Amino acid sequence: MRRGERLVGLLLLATFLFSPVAIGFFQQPALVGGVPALLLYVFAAWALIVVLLALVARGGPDGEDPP
Amino acid sequence: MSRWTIAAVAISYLCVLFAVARWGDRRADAGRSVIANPTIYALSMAVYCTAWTFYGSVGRATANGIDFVAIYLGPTLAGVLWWHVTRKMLRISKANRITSIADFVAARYGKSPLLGGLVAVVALIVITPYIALQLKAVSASVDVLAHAGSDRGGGILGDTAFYVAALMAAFAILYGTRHIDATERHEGMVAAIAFESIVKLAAFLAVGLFVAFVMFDGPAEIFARAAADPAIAPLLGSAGASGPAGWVTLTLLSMAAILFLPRQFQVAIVENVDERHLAKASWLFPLYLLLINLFVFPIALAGLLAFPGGGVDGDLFVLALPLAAGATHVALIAFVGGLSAATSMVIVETIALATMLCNDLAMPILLRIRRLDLAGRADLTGLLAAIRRGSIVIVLSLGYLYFDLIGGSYALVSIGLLSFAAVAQLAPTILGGMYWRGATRIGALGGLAGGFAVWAYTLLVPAIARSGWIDAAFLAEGPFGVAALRPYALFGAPLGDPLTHALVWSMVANLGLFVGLSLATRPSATERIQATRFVEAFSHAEGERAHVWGGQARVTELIDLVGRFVGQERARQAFAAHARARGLNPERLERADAGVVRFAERLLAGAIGAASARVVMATAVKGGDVGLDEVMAILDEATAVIEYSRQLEQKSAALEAASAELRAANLRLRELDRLKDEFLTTVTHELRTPLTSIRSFSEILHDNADLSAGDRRAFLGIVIAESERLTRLINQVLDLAKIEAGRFDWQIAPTDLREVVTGAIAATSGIFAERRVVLDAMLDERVPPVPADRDQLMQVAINLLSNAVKFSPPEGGRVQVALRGEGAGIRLTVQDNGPGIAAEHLPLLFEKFRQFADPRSGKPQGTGLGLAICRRIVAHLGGSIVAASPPGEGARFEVFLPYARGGDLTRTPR
Repeated sequence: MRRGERLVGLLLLATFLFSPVAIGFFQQPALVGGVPALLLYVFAAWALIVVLLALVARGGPDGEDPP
Repeated sequence: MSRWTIAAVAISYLCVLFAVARWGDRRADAGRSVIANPTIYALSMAVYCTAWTFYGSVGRATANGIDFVAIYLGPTLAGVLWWHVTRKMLRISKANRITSIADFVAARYGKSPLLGGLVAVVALIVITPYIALQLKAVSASVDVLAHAGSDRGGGILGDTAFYVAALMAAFAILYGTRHIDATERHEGMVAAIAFESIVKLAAFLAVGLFVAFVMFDGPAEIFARAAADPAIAPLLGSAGASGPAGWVTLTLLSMAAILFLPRQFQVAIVENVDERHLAKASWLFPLYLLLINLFVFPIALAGLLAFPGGGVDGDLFVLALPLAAGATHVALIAFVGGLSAATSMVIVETIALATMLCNDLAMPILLRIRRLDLAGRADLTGLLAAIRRGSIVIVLSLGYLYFDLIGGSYALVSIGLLSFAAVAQLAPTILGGMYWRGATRIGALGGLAGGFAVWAYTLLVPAIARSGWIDAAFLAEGPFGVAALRPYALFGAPLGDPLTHALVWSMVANLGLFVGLSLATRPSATERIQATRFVEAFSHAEGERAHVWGGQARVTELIDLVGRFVGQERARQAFAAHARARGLNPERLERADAGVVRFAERLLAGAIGAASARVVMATAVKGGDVGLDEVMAILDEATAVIEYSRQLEQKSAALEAASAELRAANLRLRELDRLKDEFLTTVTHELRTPLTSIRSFSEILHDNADLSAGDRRAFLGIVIAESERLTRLINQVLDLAKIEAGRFDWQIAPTDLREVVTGAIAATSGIFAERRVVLDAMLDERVPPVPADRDQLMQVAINLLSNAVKFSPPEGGRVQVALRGEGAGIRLTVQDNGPGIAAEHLPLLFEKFRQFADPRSGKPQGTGLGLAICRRIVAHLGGSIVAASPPGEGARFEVFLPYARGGDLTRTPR
C-alpha cells in the first residue's frame, strides 16, 4: 500500500504548508516579482500539493495497489 | 440592459442545460455512458463551487484579504484523504446501497429511522438558507445588470429569483426523479453539472482576464497600485481578520463540507460509476479549485481601486467591474457563470435533500401508519416518485421563502459558513462510525443532537437576531441578561470569531456526548453487524453465505414486494441476475434463503433507504405463514452468531498459541528434569568411584599394619589423588550452581590473554607429555588486554586444552592453539586431530550435564560440566564460544572475547 503511505506523508506536508504557522511567514504587504508575497506563497504551495497529488495518483514505482 | 434581455439569456442557458441533461440520459439509455469518465466525475464534484464562490469569494477578499482561500484549501487537504476516507465511504455505500448522507448514518447505527430522520430534518434546516443564498445571488446579479437597485418590485411574478427557482425545480423533477432505484444514476443530471462546472470556470477566468489585462495593464499593475494605496495595501498581507484560529476553522469546516455536504455525497458517492475515478479526481478537483480562485484576489483589488469609498458591494465586483468598463457582453458572461454556479448547486442539493426527505423521513412515517397499509399496496413506484417530486418543490419553496423573508439582510458568505458549521457536526458520527466499532446509536443520537443544539444556539439564533427577528440585546447581554449564556461568548470563553467559538463548543458537546454515550451503552445485534460491515468495509467481503435457513418466504413473494417499490419488471430482472450470480436457476428457486432475503432488503434500501427497507421487510408479508420481522430477527441473530463465532475463532486461535507455548515449556521442563536425574546419577557415580577407591585403600591401610613402606606410600598417593579428583568435581558443581544463581564473585580486571593461555599450557603440559600429544602454539606476540576474570578464563583454557588432549588419538596426537587479535576482540582457537564430534551432538555440546561417549571407548568422559561452565563464563564476559567439527579434521573450539562489553560486568549471564 505505498500509495496510502505516500498520501499520509502528503497530508502531513499539506497540513504544514497550509497551516497558520507557514502562512504567517508571508503575512506582510510586500511584493515579490510584482505579486504579493502571501498570494504567491499560497498559490505556489497549493500548486505543489496538486502536482504531488497527481504524481501519487498516477502511481510511481511500487505505487500500484492491489484492486 | 433590459430585464427581458437578461431573462432571455438566462432562459436560453437553462434550455441548453436541459439539452445537455437530455443528451446524457439518452447516451445512458443507449449504453454509452458519458459520465463513466474520471474527468466528468471530477467536474461534477466542482458543484462545491456555488454562487458563493463565484461572487462571495471576491467580497470576502475585499474585507479579509486572502483567507477565502482556506475554504478551498480544506477540500484540497480532503483530496489527500480521499484515498482513505472517501474510498471507504464508496465501498460501504455500494455494498449497502446507500442513497444519501442521512441513509449512511441510519444504516451504520442499526438502520435507525430516528437517526436518519434527525439528519434529514437538520439537513433541511441547514440547507434551506444555503439554497436561499443561491437565489439571492441570482436575483442580485440580475438587479446589478438591470441597474434596478435592490428594489425587486412587481410582486412574486416580477421576481427573477422566483422564475429561476421554478425552472430549477422543473429540472430537478425531470432529471432527478427519473428512476427510483439508486443504482440507476442520474446520468443526465451529472452531465449537466459537469457542463455547468466548465461554464462557471470559463466565465470566471474570462472576467478575470478581462479585468486584469483589458481594464488594467496586467495583474502586476493591479498589485502595484494596490500596494501604493494606503487604504488597500494592508490587505495584501492579510490572511483574515480572525487570526490563525479563524484560518484553521475555515480549513476544517471546508474539509468537513467537501466530505459530508449532501450534494457532495450525491455526486461523489451516489453518482460514482467506478471507484478508480477517485484517483484522478483527487488531484483534478483541487486543480479546478485553484484555477477558479486564481483571479479572485486581483478582481477584489481591482474593484477596490475602481470603486473607492465602498460605493459598490464587494460581492458584486465580478459584475460591476465589466459594467463600469462598458463591456456589457463580459458582464453577461459573468452573469451566466454565476447562474450556472447557482443552478448546479441548487439542482444537486435539492435532489439529494428530496431523496433524504423521502427515504428517511416520509417513508418511515408512512410505513408505520398501519391504516395506510402501504406495504400491502400493489405499486408504490408512483407514490415514491410523487413524494420525491413533492419534496423538491417543498425544498425550493422553503429556500425561496427564506430568501424572501430574511435572506436580504445577511451577507452571502456568512450564510454559507453557517451551513458548513452544521455539516461539520456530522463528522464525529460518520468518521467515528467508519473507524470505531464501539460507536453506538445512542452515542450518535446524543452527539448529533448536542452538536446541532449548540450550533443552533451559537450561530443560527444570532443570525436570526441579526436579521432583526429577535431583540439584538439578546446577543450583547445574553438571554434574560445572563452574560454567561451570550451566544457569541458562551461561559465567557475568549474563543475569537463567532465561527471558531461555535465550532469549538459544538464539537465539545458533539464529541463528548458521542464518545461518552457510546462507551456507556451497549449496541444491539443489528448495530453490531452494521458496525462490522462499515468498519471492515475493505477486509470484510460481504459473506453471502448460503447457510440453510428454514424460512418459509417464497421468492415470488419477495419479488412482488420489491417490485411494488422499484417496478415489477426491474425487480424480476434483479432477482434473476442475483440467482444467476450465485449459480442458481432462477426458475427453480422457490424458498428464499438468507442470501435472497438480504438481497431483497438491499434492493429496497436502494429505493427507500436502509431504515425504511427494514420496516417494509418486517411488516410486509403479514398474515402469510411467516412474519417477516421474525425472519429479520432470525437473520440478524444468525449474522450475530457468525460475528460471535468469528470472535471465538480468534480467541481459540490465541488459546491454541498459548497452549502450544505451554506444551513447549512443559517439554523443556521435562527435558531439564530428565537431565537433572541423569546428572544426579552421573554425579553420584562420579562421586562413588573415587570414594570407593579411597575407602578401599583406607581399609587396606587400616587392616594391614604390616604393609611395606613403599606400598603404604603408593596407596596413600592414590587416596590423595582420588580426594583431589573428588574436590575438583565438587568445586565444579558448586561453581556452576553459583554462576547460574548469579552469586559468583567475578574479579573483572584488564587481563592479558596471552599470559592466561601460556599459563594454561604450562598447567596442562603434564598430561600432554603423559599422552604424548604434540602442542602447536601460535600466539600473537602482543594482544590488547580484555576485561575479564583471569582465573575463570584460565579455567576455560585449561578445560579446552584437556578436552583436546582427551580426544586426541593415542598415536600422533596433535593439538593446535591459536590466539590472535581480530577486529573488536580476541579469538582463541583450540583444534585437535581426534575423531571429531558427531554433527547431531554439536548443538547440545554446551548444555549442562551433556556427556557424549568417546567414539573409541564408547564410554562418556568427564563430568559433563566443563563445557557448560566454559560457555557461561565466556557469555558473562560478553563473548561467545562455538564448536565446529568438519569431517576428518577433528574438533575445533573457538572463543571470542570482545575488548569492550556493554552492560554491567557483574551481571549474571543468562
